[in-house]
Amino acid sequence: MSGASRPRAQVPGEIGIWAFVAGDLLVFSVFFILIALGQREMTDVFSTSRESLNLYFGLCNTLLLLTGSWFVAIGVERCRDGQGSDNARWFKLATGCGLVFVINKIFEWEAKIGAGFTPLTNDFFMYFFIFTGIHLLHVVVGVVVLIFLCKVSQRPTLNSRDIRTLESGGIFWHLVDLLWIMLFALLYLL
Amino acid sequence: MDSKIQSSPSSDGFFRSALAFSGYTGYAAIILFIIGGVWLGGMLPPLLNASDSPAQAVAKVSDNLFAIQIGSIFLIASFALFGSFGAGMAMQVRRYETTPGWSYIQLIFTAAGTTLALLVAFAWALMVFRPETYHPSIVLMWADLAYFIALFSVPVFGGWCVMVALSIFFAEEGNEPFPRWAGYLNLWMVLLFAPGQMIMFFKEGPFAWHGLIAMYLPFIAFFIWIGVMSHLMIKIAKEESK
Amino acid sequence: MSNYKTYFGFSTMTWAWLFLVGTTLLAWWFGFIDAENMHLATTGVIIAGAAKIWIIGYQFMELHRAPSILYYSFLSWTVGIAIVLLTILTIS
Repeated sequence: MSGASRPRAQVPGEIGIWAFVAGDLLVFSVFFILIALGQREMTDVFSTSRESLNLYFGLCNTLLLLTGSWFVAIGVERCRDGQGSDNARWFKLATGCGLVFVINKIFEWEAKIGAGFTPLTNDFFMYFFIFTGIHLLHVVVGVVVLIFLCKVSQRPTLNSRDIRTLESGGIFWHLVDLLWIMLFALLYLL
Repeated sequence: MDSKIQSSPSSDGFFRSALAFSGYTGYAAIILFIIGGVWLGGMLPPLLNASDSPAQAVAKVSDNLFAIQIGSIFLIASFALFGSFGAGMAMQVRRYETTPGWSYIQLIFTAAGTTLALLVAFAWALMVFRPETYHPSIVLMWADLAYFIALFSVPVFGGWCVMVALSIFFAEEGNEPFPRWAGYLNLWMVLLFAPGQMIMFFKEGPFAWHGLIAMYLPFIAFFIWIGVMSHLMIKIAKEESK
Repeated sequence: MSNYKTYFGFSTMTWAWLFLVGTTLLAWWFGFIDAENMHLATTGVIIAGAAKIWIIGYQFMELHRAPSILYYSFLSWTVGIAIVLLTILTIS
């Protein structure tokens, strides 16, 4: 296909959101490393504490975020290509996933605290509550962003700025998903 | 001629001087903090620990009394300049408004942040005013108060950054008061300040008020933020003169 | 109607999701294996996590159409963090 031109590489969203993603990944990398160091230094404490975690909560949350990301990816694609009708529904579905995640997280924390586990119990639970807490803040912000994307996607015509907004917002949501993947692995699965 | 911009700064030297001044006071705030907080005052790195006993706190403070006393004067000078620094960001946003909106929101957060910062300096000063007279736990409490006001106030300082970011993102395409990357930087700052909210739950470890993640990170990020935004203000003031 | 390329009836986005869900369930099942070799289990978990992160970046975040430097930066981080975590967790 020597004659055909390759589509020009384009930054999804805009470079600014990627700078933010990089910053967030930097911070969370530190968090991941701290958990790993804790696992290594206090293996018994960590392994025992991990057994108190409810894997089903974690699994459910992971699937919720993955599915939400899937919806967002479809929605952004459809909006950009002008395909499909009522593309807002994808963002609404994703918002739903996010909200269920938040509710799920609240139940999970309630259960833990009710069972006597707090951020002060030991280092594992300190990391568990604080890092999933900071992640939860991201989810809440992400839900707000998704609600905004619902509105944007409902506009009769989408200009390039709207597409950029949708892509950037989507990228933030995928970041939220991505961060959880590693948190889930380190806190629940090891 | 862009009608959206309220005044044409190239002809408004008076405005440019204010904007540049705001930027330079931001730089000054950083330098004064380095003298008062880092070098003399024992704020960062922290002389005290959240896990210190009151007696330990009194001892540490008494050993460095004069330095911290002088340091607290530099601290209050530094923190007072948050006002002009913040007003500078607001005045730049104001240029892009027909009716003031985001600039007003920013000014309020500037006022809140500056007032809180001043209280931090007062608490620090009182900590070394007469530690031999106060009950030892009160001496420790002044340190608690200072760090709590500085760190536990994420919705204020983080909120300040959010307001700056929003004023950039809601601006008209290509007609933003600050570059878009600055908007994203401000949002990242909120993340870096966030661990400060955790100091309520820990008296030792990285999330205590003397800790790496809950104290060092927000403090350092905050002053880097001042540096970057000050730089932008000075740059804009200079560019507009061409 | 949609003109998206499909592979065996599923769009690339859907395949990505299926892969992600599948890997998640696989890692979960992996955890039930009485891993005599803890290091193997750990490695599996971290690598599965990294693979999922890569798919999210490549497909959902559309790095496949991004300038190379952006994609390779992301890839470097993904590989890098996996290596760092594995080193901490497995090298005694």
